[in-house]
Amino acid sequence: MAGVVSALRANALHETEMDAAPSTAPAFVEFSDVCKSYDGETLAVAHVDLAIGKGEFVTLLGPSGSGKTTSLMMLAGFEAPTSGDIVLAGRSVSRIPPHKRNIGMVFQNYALFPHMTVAENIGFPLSVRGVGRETVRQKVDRALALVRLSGLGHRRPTELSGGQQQRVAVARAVVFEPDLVLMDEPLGALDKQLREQLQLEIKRIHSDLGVTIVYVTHDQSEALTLSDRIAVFNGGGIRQIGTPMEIYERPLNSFVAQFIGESNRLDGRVISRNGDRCRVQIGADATIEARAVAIGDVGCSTSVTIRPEHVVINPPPGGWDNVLTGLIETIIYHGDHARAQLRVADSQVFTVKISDPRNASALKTGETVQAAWRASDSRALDPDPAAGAAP
Amino acid sequence: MPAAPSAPLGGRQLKQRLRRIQRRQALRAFALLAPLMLFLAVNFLLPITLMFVRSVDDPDVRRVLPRTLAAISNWDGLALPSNEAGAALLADLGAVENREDLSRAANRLNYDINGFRSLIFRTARSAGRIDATHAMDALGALDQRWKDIETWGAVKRAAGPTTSFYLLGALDMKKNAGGEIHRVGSERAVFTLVLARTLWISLWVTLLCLLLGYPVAYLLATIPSNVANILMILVLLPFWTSLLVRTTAWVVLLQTDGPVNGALRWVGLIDQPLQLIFNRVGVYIAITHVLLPFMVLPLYSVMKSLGPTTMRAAISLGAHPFTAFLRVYVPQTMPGVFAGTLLVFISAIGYYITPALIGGADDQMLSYFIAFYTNETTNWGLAGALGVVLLMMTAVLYLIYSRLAGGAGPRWA
Ligand SMILES: Nc1ncnc2c1ncn2[C@@H]1O[C@H](COP(=O)(O)OP(=O)(O)OP(=O)(O)O)[C@@H](O)[C@H]1O
Ligand SMILES: [Mg+2]
Repeated sequence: MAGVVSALRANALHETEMDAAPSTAPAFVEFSDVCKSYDGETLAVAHVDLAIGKGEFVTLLGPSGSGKTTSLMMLAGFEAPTSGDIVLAGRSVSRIPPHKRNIGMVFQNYALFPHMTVAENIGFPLSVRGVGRETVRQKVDRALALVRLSGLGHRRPTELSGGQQQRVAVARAVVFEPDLVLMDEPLGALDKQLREQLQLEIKRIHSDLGVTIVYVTHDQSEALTLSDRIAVFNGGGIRQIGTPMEIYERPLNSFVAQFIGESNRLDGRVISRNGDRCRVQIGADATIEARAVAIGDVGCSTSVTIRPEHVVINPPPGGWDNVLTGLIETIIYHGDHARAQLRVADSQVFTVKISDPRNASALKTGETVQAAWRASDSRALDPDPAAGAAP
Repeated sequence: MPAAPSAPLGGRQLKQRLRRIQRRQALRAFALLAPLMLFLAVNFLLPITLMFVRSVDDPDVRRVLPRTLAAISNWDGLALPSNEAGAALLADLGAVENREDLSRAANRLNYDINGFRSLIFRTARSAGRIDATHAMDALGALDQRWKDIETWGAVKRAAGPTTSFYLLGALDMKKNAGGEIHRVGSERAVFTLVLARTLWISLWVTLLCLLLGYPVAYLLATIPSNVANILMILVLLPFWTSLLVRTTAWVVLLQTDGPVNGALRWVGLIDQPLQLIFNRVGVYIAITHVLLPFMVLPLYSVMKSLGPTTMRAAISLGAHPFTAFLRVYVPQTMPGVFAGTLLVFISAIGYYITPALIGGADDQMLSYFIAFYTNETTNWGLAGALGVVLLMMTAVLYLIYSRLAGGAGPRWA
């Protein structure tokens, strides 16, 4: 991730704090103010607005129970929205039964048909569309080649490994050239190596076929690797939509900042504001400067987020906007780097990433150190709505 | 066994130890299985073996008419036997001491030809008074039937020690005096008809159970489990009452002025009460009711393991929900269908009490006749033969069925 970060550094200088909508083309899939409740009391999906362009790869990313699958199921037609509307290719889906939506779907547990061979599985969407036998055979062969399983068409799904089964599921979902492919944590059951390999293949299939893909995962690195855009879900709603870079570099709230990558969060109160900078009081007697990304008026509470890799311990003096004194609690060695956990400003937890772990050996737990970072690397977020001031 | 890393085991020693452990395991397994084996041997293998033996055993006539049988052992059955045979018969019948034995032999011959019993007693009574030099003529004069080749054929057929008489009889076939097998006249051919009826009733009961049970199992497998548990109790309710109680309950329900007819008349569907009992309709209803759980349970257990995703996958891939059901859901439930139909069909084939109480004369199944020949006429040979036929039929059907079912069939092993 360090590579991504440094590559993004230049971009971060002229950022705009806007959701980068893909703009020009009309949306192919559009959620407008969609809500879904299973029990009539709590909302599993709350006021979701989401526009997806044709050919886009959009990932729904969020913790367990945040409403990702529910959103996908509403799009596929297996759940109906409680309110709001979903438009697919210009038509409201409420009037299209699920089997007429022309959506290919890949499920977390593969959902292959155990009584059919691999070839019959892949040919299924074609045969229910009345495609001729010979054409089915050709397309199935092509799809098998696409997922690199040529020659395994005669096997039963149970005779394949997990990764192979998942590739069959992908082939089956794309063989009928659907307008849209939905994937619900398709790689969740696989080990890390296989997952990375299949991520590349899914990416390749996406660019080969130019199909629109909506992908669900709770693995942030998977989302960053694959997606054109990421919609970060939490508590049934979308917290932020944007390209992987935007999501990582310019989180709009501390949930996104902490869910994607890692972030320190210092809670405090805005004491002054100056253009796109602000000064925040944290703890009793420390103030820091941060970018005023989303804050209320002076006096409102806010959270300042700083990524651990942007913090330097005991820096050479000069040129630092923020320097805090902290007490080292633990130092953990990670091989290619080390992490120090500090207590700063009235014992808020603060993590520092030390990129050269050899430097960490000079530090001892219980020692008092200086932690420093640039104001441009920290973001003041989460205006407190209780204070009644919106940005 | 103490761990002794300091003394590594030699190859032979290791093998010995392994063998000792395996022997102990085998012994343990055997000890665990022994009670069941014993139980099965006594209650299952023994009766079946006895049934097989009964169906071919034929000792009765042999005991009473040894000389006669010796005299006709080379008889070709084309013309009346020689005078020697008549003389031997008279000698045998004159020498009988045990009336019981004579009675048993007479019964055995009576199974073959009606009226043979009285013929034997009548001849036995006169045996001492007949001159053996013209035995055949004298016998013919005593009773016309001794002039019939088939009368002597029946005696020869009963020669024992084993016979095909009962097994052939269970298939409505018979040997004539010449030893050729032929079908008995249609007025006496009951068992093939009963056999066909047994299969037919079982087939219909199986189909009815499948038609009624499949949707129920589907519902049970797809609704929330708290509701499913309550419904499952209703499905299992038939198991809680005795078969006899349930069957008589059906008699009460289905009789001409019973509640079912009453309800139908009250609704206005019928003017005259329907005959629902002592006929085939009642038999179908009652057996289906009793056997329905045997269909629902295997189906339910298979369906419960399926989950909604393959159906959803099929629908999302463009299959109409009905197509998805037929092409994706139903094939996956086939192991349950095969297990359920097999259980129901094989149970139905052996049904006895329900048709006996609820059916009419034309609705009795094979088991009824087995019971009849066992209890009423004590013709155990024929009862055994009918049992063998039923068993063989079940086995053959099972083999054909499991062949048809192929990979989807139930695996008992
Ligand atoms: N069929 C259902 N009936 C009732 N509540 C449900 C149902 N499906 C989901 N929920 C609830 O809706 C909320 C969102 O669930 P959803 O399955 O969309 O989460 P998710 O983001 O896909 O989570 P995960 O990453 O664990 O799959 C959860 O609180 C869940 O308990
Ligand atoms: Mg989910």
